[in-house]
Amino acid sequence: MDINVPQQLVNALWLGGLYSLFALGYALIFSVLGLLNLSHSAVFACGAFVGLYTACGDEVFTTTCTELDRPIWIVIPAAMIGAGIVSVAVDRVAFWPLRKRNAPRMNQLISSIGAAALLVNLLQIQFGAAQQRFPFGSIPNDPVSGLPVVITPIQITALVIALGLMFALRILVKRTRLGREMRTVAFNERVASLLGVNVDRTYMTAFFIAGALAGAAGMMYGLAFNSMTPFMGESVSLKGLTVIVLGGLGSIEGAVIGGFLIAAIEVFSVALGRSDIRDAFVFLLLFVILVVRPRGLLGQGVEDRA
Amino acid sequence: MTTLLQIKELQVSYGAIIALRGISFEVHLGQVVSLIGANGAGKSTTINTLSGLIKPRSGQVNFEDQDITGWRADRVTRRGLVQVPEGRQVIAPLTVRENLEMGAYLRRDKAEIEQDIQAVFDRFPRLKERHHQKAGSLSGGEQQMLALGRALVARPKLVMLDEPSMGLAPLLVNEVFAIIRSIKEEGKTILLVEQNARKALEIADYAYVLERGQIRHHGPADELRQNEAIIKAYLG
Amino acid sequence: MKTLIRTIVVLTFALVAVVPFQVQAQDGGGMGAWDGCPVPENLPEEVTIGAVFGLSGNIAAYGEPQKRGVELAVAEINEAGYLGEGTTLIAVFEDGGSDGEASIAAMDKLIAENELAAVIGPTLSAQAFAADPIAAENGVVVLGVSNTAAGLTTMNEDEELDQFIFRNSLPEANVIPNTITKSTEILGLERVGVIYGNDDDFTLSGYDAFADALEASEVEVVRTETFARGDVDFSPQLTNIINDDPDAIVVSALIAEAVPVVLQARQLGYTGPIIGGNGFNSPALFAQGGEAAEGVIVGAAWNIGSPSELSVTFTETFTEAYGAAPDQFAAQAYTGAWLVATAIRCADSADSADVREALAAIVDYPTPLGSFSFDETRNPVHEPVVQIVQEGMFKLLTEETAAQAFGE
Repeated sequence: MDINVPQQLVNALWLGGLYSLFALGYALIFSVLGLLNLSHSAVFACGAFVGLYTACGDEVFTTTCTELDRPIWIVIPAAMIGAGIVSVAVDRVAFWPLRKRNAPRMNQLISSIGAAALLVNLLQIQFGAAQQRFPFGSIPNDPVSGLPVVITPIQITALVIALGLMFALRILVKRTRLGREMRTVAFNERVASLLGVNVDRTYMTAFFIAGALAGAAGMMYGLAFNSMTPFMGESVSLKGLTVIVLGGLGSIEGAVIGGFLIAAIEVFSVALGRSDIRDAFVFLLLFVILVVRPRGLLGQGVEDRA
Repeated sequence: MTTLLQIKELQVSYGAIIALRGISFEVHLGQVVSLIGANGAGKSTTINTLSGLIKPRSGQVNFEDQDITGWRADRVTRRGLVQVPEGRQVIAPLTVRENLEMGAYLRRDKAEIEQDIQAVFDRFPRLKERHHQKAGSLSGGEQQMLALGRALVARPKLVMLDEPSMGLAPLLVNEVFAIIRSIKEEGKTILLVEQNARKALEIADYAYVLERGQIRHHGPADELRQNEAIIKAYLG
Repeated sequence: MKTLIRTIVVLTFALVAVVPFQVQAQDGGGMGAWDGCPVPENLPEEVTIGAVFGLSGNIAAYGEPQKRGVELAVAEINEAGYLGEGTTLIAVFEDGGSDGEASIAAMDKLIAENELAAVIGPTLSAQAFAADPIAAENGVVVLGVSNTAAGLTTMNEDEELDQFIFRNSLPEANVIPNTITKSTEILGLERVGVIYGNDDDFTLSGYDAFADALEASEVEVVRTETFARGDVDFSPQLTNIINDDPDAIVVSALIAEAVPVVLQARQLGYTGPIIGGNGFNSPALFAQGGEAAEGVIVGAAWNIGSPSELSVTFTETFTEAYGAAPDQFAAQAYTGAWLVATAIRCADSADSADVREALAAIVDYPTPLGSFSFDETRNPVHEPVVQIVQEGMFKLLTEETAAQAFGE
């Protein structure tokens, strides 16, 4: 049984890019809010559908979209901004009221699950449950020629955008005023406000950025796999959680490394002929990491997150 | 003398428990004013109400003749009242330098911020040595210096210090007060909340004594140091 | 005398009401032309049937067309007075969700709140295994219109309970052997790669049927890969299969996974036949798959391109009513509602036990699925089809269409 190693590497690499991109938003919110925002996967789906609506207009409500009304380089930012706004709305509706009352973290977690269900249902009412896709040829789909492996422009684009956004986020958190601000709020809201930080605004900014990252991931998914439903976030949701637990909660680099690692394990467990126990490999690794290194690969403990 | 801060009949309660029963006091420009009292007398409640962390039930806070009662904490800081919180509370996951940069969060004048940070480093050479370390890895004394430095970088009109000597070894307490004195000598206005009454009265121009949410005594610090009742209760 | 006149007047009205419908039915070749039973006389004003379909979540892609199929049939039945003058058929829908528990809850609710002549559904085989026994224990006949897993109508230890469980959806086990035999014969398959969803009753029983049929046709399986429901990336599995250079890729998947499997196989450079199970039989394959769907071979209970008169009429009416073409799920649900109505008509009773008897007795009933009968285990009997996607349509698989698709 021979394995097409170069092709499987390509498969792993770009899938890893997608996982990482999705997990980044999780990681960012965890680092600022100190909690898992389980509505992230719903925001991800919202991003894809905002993109679809931007691309096709009202057509999407009735039939399959067959033609792009707007160019793809407008559609992607629109999806990011749309998902960012949805994400901020989630913060205001699902988290802010609880935060004001100092509600326990668990309540906020539950509230985020509620927000996810609500968003998915709204999407379903608006767009229906059937699969949707971007019009054929939205983005060149023929493999790049002259290579020994099959890699399509969308895969390259997704990987480049994913890596670019990860890099940008890292710079933002580690090197900018906004990054310091977010890390300070993450550490202690009270101290942050005594330094002049408008904490609510910091939350909104963080949620916007996380939402925009989810939106970008949703667009990439939509374009690459050509299958979007309001429930598209469900399968990624658990992957994303695994990625950040593996990488270290709230660690940007951890989210990236975790994403690529999980993609590689998935792809190579399949490549080695065990697609039937692929998920078992992933969760076995997760289990081992949690036992050996409970903070995850790059986690530095709660005091030090972000 | 210019009145910088004026508090009138400030009342604060936590549910049914009344923490401040209508206190009034003033801080003049360039003064060091101490608020002393036992644990639970309402000192920290006062300072946190001034900072906007606690909303008063009634009363008024005027700063430079502007009513800032009930303002949100970040607005109060923006207005120039900067608190150095109790227990130092440096931002542990940020480096020493990043902590100072957070002190200058509201300022945009990059070049001057850098000067001020260097000035803090000159004042506290130990912070300079450790500028790349995480603040959480500093010793208690170093953290107090960093907290003070962070407040100074904000260029406050009024520095409010909440129990700066708390939890420090006696030798370090002396060092901290030496620093506060040097800040005073630069002409900064300081509101000092302190349990260590002896030290507080040494450094202050004027002092108020809080007991169970009310001001029991007040007067120039020199006078209060001679007051029999105070000597008995706080300096004995 | 007065009574006689009244009777004549009533009869005349009844005749006037029924005659145009019959003419229409014959003209258009619509449903209800079956005259095996007379117009019933003893039915109450309202006869209620229940329907448990997955109307939320991923599964709504199947549940929605099913609901539409039933609604269309009920509207036609009432318009035509198929159950007699003054009797209205009412369908009560419950959301069966996407798992067994939700369907059990839906079934419980339907039975508790209504006097039911029959229940149609639930959508998935796994849900039917969970919820059908509840109907049977309450003496309510249940007709599956999309359950294709093996053994569904003989699931209970107690054979008496089984008597209440019917389906009109051809089991994969009936469709698939036909698909494989015809494909092997026409395409000359020798070695194939297989990929299937291993966590779903529908795709699993589809896989078993494929594996048996391939063995029976002496086709070598060079590689078998699996995936899970909700997966979107199948490139690693497909890379493996394509690497082995098979004559065809055999896929057992629901439509949500079927489309990306096809797209990604084509993207990885595979141009050969892709043979799918029942799950592929949906217009979504064209809408979502586009050019990549060309050359996909699907066995099915029903084909939108079927030339039969009833099928063409159904397709037209459905498209007119909903602005979208029906899929097999809609066709089977539509047929299911007509089957139940016919059983009610023939039983001349809304009592589920009577309806059960009448349903079991249905033979050679003309439907969009073809001439329809139930066998002795209450499974459907009708001719399946083998289709190939060409120019964005399902066409029947022949030497000719195969040659066009794969340029023999």
